[in-house]
Amino acid sequence: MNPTHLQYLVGAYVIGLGLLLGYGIALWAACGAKRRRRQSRGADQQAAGAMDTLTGSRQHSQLRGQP
Amino acid sequence: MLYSLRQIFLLVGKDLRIEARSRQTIGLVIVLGLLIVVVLGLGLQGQPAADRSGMAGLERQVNHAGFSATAVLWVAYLFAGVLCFEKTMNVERTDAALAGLMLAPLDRGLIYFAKLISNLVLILAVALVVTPAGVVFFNFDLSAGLGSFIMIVGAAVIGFAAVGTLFAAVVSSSRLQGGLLAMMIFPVSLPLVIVSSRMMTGIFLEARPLETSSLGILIAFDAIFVAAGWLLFDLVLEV
Amino acid sequence: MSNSLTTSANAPKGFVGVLDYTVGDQAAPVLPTVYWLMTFVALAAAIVMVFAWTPEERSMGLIQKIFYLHLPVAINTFLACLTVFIASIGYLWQRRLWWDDLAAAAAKVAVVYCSVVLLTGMFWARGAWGVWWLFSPRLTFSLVLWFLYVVYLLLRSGIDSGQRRAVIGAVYGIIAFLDVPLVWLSARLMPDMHPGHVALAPAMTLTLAVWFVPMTLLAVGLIVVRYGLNRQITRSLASSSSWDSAESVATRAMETVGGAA
Repeated sequence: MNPTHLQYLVGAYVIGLGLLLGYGIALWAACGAKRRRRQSRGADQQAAGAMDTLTGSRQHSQLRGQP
Repeated sequence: MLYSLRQIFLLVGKDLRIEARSRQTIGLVIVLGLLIVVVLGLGLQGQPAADRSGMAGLERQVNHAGFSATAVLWVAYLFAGVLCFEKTMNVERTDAALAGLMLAPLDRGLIYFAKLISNLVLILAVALVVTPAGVVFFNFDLSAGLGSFIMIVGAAVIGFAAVGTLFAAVVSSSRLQGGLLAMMIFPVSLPLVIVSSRMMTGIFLEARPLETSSLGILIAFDAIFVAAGWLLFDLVLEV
Repeated sequence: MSNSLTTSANAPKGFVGVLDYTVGDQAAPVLPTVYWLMTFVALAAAIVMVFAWTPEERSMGLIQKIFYLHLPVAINTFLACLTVFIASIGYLWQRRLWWDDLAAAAAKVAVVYCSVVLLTGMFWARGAWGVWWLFSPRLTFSLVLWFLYVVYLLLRSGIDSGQRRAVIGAVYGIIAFLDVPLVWLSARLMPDMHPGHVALAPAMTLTLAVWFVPMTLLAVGLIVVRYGLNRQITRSLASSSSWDSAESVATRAMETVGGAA
């Protein structure tokens, strides 16, 4: 058994699977961020945003602490 | 059918007349092609300076064809071609000409054919200048298969222009121009480069006759992408 | 507090991503958990199998074992590219944006998978023939494929208008896939270092089959998750930019204010 062959073999698997799993993890993190953003936007904040759209001001959102 | 042909010729005539009067594209594109050949010629010299003495040195200084000539010609055609396609589409940017064209009662696929033919005329003009330059700078001996060479380049250029005309329409309406067109055309055109290079290596270096199966690939490429371009052109045209 | 806001604005409608965790607010949705668990178990089993059980191939030696990762990933790359093609046609035919979201998701996965094909191929070339790169038919084909779909992603990122991006993406998606057989045919003209069809022992065929499972599950899962994400993004962009959304927001605001009071 050629020792270098083993290195290349392991290297190939590590990099190959690492790339695939790394992409999966990055995707999962992106989904998590989307989910957290969605969950944190409560109903009253929605209403505040809606009132602002109606009145053309930013006072309602600002009262609720939204940027 | 004849009516469509007449419309195509009208459009082609318009483009070529504009080009003949302003001569903006043809000059740029030919000079670019020549410069690329020269740059590559200088770059591919190959031998260290110390060895350049006497007749042996002279012999080594002369660039022997090998197959670097096909690569050089292809690079020149590709870059000059991209510039050419971009400019023929951009002609329509002035004076809302594209709007006028789109409002005209003609099938937009015909606009594709017209642009394709204009592009082909310009590219062939470039090839007529750049190829002799390549032959001269690289001592490329075409006598072994001039007819084959013409057929290969002709078939490849048609495919290249087919793809380029469609993509130029995509790019001309977007805000990022520059390298975007090159980036789109090159990967799709790689089969043309691969096949034509192999064929030319076969004919000129290995003295093999023209391989019809390879020529078949080029012709298939042309047919597929001219058809696809014709069908999809309408979708990408945007004022 | 009226519930119409939480249910109508926040809740994803339709198929958003059954294999991801953005659907619903439950702690641990069942289907994604089971699916990913299955995938990882299959992957672990496959890895153990390849390193502990599969026999070494006579002529090429240990390095041949890269094949068990390389081939399933290559096949899945092709399937992802096919998905982009079908989704492109679907969009041009129906003009519904979900086709476009699917195409974008499949293209991303295609690029990631193609990168794996290239990298594992390079390691194999280095181990078997001593060079990192060879313009052989298969490596050349993989390289061109990679470029075709990377350009697809770059092209999309350069277009702001969602609808224009979908149309251009679809046109390019079709052109790119039409090019694939031509690339394959032309790459076959390159000098070939790959061995001809090597007869596989039954143990090797089994290992190969076992590797197809996690690689395909992973590919499908990644496409579905990315698709779900794309759908949510498209929906939120649509609702924030369309004219009639202001009306619906106002209606809901009136309901809420009326309800709170």
